[in-house]
Amino acid sequence: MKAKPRAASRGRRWMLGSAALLLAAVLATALYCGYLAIHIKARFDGRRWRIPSQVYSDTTLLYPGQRINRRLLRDKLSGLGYRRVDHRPRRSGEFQQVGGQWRLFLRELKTPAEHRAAMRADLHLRGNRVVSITDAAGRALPLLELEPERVMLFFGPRREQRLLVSIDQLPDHLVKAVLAIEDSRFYTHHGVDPRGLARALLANLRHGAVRQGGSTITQQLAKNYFLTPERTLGRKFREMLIALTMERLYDKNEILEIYLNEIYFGRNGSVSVNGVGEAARYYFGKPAAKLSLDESATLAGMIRAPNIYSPYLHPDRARRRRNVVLRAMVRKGWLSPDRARRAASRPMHTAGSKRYHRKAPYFMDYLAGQLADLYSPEALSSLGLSIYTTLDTQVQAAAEEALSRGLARLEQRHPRLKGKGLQGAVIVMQPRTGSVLAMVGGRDYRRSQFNRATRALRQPGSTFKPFVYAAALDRFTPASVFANTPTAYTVEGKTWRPRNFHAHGPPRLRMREALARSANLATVDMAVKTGLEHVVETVRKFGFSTPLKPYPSLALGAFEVIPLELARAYSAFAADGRLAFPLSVKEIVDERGKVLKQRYMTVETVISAAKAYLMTSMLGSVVAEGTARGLRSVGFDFPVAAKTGTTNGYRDAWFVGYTPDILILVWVGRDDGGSIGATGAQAAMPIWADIARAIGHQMPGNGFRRPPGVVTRVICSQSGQLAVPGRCPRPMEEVFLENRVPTQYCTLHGGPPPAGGPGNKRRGSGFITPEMK
Amino acid sequence: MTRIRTVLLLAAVTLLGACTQSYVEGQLAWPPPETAQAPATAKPPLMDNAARGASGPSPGATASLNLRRQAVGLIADGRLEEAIRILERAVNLAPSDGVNYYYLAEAWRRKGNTARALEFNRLAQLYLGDSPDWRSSLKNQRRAIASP
Repeated sequence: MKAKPRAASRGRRWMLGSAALLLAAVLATALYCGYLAIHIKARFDGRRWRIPSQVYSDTTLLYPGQRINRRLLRDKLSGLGYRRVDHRPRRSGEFQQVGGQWRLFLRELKTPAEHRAAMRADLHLRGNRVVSITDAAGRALPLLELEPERVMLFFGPRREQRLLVSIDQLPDHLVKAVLAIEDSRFYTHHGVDPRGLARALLANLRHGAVRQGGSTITQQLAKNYFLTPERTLGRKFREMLIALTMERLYDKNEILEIYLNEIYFGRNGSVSVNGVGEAARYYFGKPAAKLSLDESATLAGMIRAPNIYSPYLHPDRARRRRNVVLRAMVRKGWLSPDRARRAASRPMHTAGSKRYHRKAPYFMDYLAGQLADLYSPEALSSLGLSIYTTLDTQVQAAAEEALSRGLARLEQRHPRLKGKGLQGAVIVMQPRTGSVLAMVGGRDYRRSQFNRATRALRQPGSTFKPFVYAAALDRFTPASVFANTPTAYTVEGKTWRPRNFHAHGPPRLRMREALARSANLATVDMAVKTGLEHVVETVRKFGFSTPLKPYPSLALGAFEVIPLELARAYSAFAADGRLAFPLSVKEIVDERGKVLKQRYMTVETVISAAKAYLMTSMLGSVVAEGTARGLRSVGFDFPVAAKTGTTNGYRDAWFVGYTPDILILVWVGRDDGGSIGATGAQAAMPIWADIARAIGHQMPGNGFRRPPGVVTRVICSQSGQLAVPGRCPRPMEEVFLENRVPTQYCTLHGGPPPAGGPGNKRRGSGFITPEMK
Repeated sequence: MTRIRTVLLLAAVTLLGACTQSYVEGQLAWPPPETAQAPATAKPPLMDNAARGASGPSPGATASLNLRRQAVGLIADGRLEEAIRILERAVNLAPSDGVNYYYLAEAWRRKGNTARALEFNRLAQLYLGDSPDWRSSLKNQRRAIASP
């Protein structure tokens, strides 16, 4: 009789126990879900992704009459991801070349300073010049600008690249394609789809292995964000809980947007392509908003296995998979069979794979150094900034090629240099604005990341002389004569005897001749007569940060300088005495397009425009008749001012030359300070010439304009004094500062001009003196 | 009569021929001009466009002018940063065009950066100082920069 109540009581206890256990489980699950909610909110409400900041080159300007280098321009278009086609371009990002006619379908150009819609334009070239530019209607365009080129990404440790998109911007067919193939009941389930799970379970049982996950889009997101990739029941359970919690916290569109920005779309080299925005750019060269139906279906099809269905790696598989997606869309009633058929018949067009490799690596390191004051490496690899720079990739390519060729040539001529670590550096800048267009800090970045352009300390040799001459113009004139004879100088109790590179030379030289011949003895004589303290004071104004001491050897470039500082200092001669701050960053823009930083042309006056012109004129003589006259023989017929430099024991070879438009510095040497056995004119000048020849597009053909305050007089080339007409055998015109004009007539050839005879300035004499403008 | 006419014609032809010959050979036969006896005056290297016989504005100068037109419109609209960026480009295409510096000074003045405005006004002065058309504009600009 007692057995029944005992059994009933046991049953009650069991039920109570089970209920308590269930309650505890529910409570534990609820608590766990609460914990997950905190975790999910912390993850999603903050910054969802680390977006690498991107570095862009400058835009490329094209205009009628401009000289261009066809090969570099073609490379530029390729760098921008333009695809060469054999028909008239139909879509943006295509170009066709028919003889001298280049038909472009330009992409949209969007920088902080300008915005231009995608457009067609034809470039008409003759030889190496742009003859005209026309738009689609055949109207002449005065200017055309190519968009900036993405040249580097500041990756974090995961090396993920993504371009964020908003779901509102995406075409409807892209969203439907993804839903059709990944989760067609997305808008009706609550994070977990029991029908999908049951189907997956059946399929797995049938195959005796895990074949399908039955995961919804929310579950996939949960897995990507919070879980490891192993396939276990426990992990699956956590995935479902996270998905359910996410659905409680966020609305469907928000979850879908996160998913579309998160999913993995394969690799580009070592870089992971994530999100539909980046995938659209990488695979089709366009914004996700502009994806066509067939392209959308291709991307949707890739989600399951991005590398297997990659249109680059396996175009046939990608096409078949795309058509599977299109059929799925038809089945769901989201696409008409007709449209699906048309889309399925389209060939697979891709943008052309382009590796995210570092271009201009030394420039980028220099840039990173400049940015270090503004952003931490963590910020650069996660904030998704767009950094617009002054880099001209055509100039950069020309500089890299010329340096590489020049060093190889030198090794060929001096085989003993092979394996001795021959190095070089190049800086190309606009002297007016200070914009650094290109920088090469070494021969091979993979072998040595040391940036010789910005960090090397090298003796400048004779390339330093112009700054000494600029100081001397405060006391002397280009016609002043200096002793070019061996002299001993005492420095801190020690005797120093400078020598000329060529032992034999005239005993007296005018300032212009001394600079053209790079005469050491005359230069030291001039520096000492000018006053070494004054020389140091003047040189400092040119922005050198390295130590300089008032020693006579300073005049010959004995104190080390940094190549970039030397290039910058020369820019003052090219730019009316204005020293421009070297500019590499132009704008920094955040993800939303808000401009955070801007850098503009900044100049300061270091010498008068008249003095800068005198220096340019004298440096012109270096090219016309001096140590750089080799440039003329290789066809440089435009105004160039330049200086060669060679240090003791051939340790450094330099060449710095400029036009009003461009300044190029070339250094060749060895890191160990060993000899390279060649002068600046032999080792560095040919590299300079190669670069200058290749970058016509940056040399619009301007001459130096004589500023006010400069006058011309005819002098006796022997005495440097005013020429006596009819007596001085080799008269010549010379330029002077108007407040420092010689008044003494040539004493070598007869003193003052004959009374009543033609004077130095009078027209109608044997010497016709152009009056100062 | 006919003989006389023939003789006269022959004489005329001979005279004409002689003249023509002396003209053709003149450069060789005549004594060199007086100035040629004086030594030739050497010149410093030409650093302007005359060095290559260029005439008229360079293609760069034309492009610079087109950019400046855009920039002037932007200044008028108050889009100063964009105007400055375009003018910087124009400056490098035509470094000796003082008008670009004038507008750079104007854009910086309107942005309230006196130091930069003055520096560019000085550069404009360097190239436009001789121009009566620009003298008063430059002076007014300088005054406006000094008393914002």
